[in-house]
Amino acid sequence: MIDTANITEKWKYLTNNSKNLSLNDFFDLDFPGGNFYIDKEANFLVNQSTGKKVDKEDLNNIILAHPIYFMIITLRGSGASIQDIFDLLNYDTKNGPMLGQCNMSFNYQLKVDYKYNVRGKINSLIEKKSQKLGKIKILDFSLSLYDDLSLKIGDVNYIWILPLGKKNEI
Amino acid sequence: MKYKKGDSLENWSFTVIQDNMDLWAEILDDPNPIHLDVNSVKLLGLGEKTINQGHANIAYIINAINYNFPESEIIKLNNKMTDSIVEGDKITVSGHIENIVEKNKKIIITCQLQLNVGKEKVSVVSEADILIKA
Repeated sequence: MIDTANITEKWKYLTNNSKNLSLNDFFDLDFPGGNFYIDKEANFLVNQSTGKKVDKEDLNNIILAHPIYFMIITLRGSGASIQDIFDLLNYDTKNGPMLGQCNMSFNYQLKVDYKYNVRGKINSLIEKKSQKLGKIKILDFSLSLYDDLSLKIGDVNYIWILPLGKKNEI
Repeated sequence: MKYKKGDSLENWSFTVIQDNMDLWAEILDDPNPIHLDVNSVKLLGLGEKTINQGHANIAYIINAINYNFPESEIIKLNNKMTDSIVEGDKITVSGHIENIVEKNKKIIITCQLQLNVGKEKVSVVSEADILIKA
């Protein structure tokens, strides 16, 4: 059993003190965890906005969600929003964070009108110099999806590139 | 079997518009201004147009896979983002079959894919394992 309350408190503490923390303080940090429900109307919009033709008349017959929901759910249901992650790292989004890599493995297909649970952790935060972007941080984290019976549905590993401006002091 | 190692996939194309970037900012609860505000992009020296969400770029890769293999299930998808896609870009996903493995009455096809804008700009490089349903 994961101690969600304790993890949330730890995130609060780290967020409030992130200016004074070293990169290693984020190593192996669990996400608070949470859940996400795939709504069929939202699934329709996801399909439509990415160019996949879905007939709205057929909405009630659609069982499977777009596989990109693996990324949406793991981020929205992790217990920490994208802004929460940047706040944790004392990172200013005005510097334009970018997704660098995303590797996914799928054990089962996702269903609409279904709730999924998310757990995960930060693997590392390192600093590098990029020829194109100058000084950057690289955030590596993994999130896993489970159904209500704790059956693992899949894993997603993210690498985010965080360009550093003058105001950033991760 | 209708698939062969080395076969090219049929190209899949789509044009990126601002309305969809606005929607994806909501879907992801992502406040990053590079997707929403041209002035922020300019201030950061990242170009002259808003930048599409990487998640949407990966969705295009998935759509191209589903278009080429309609009765299939993606079991692994690795993506490396190599360049940005911006508002107004017409993207094309292309690819080929790298390998085919038949085991226990299951067929798993490995594909190499890439998302381009024009011929020169490669924005996403992906490798997918696809389970073909019998």
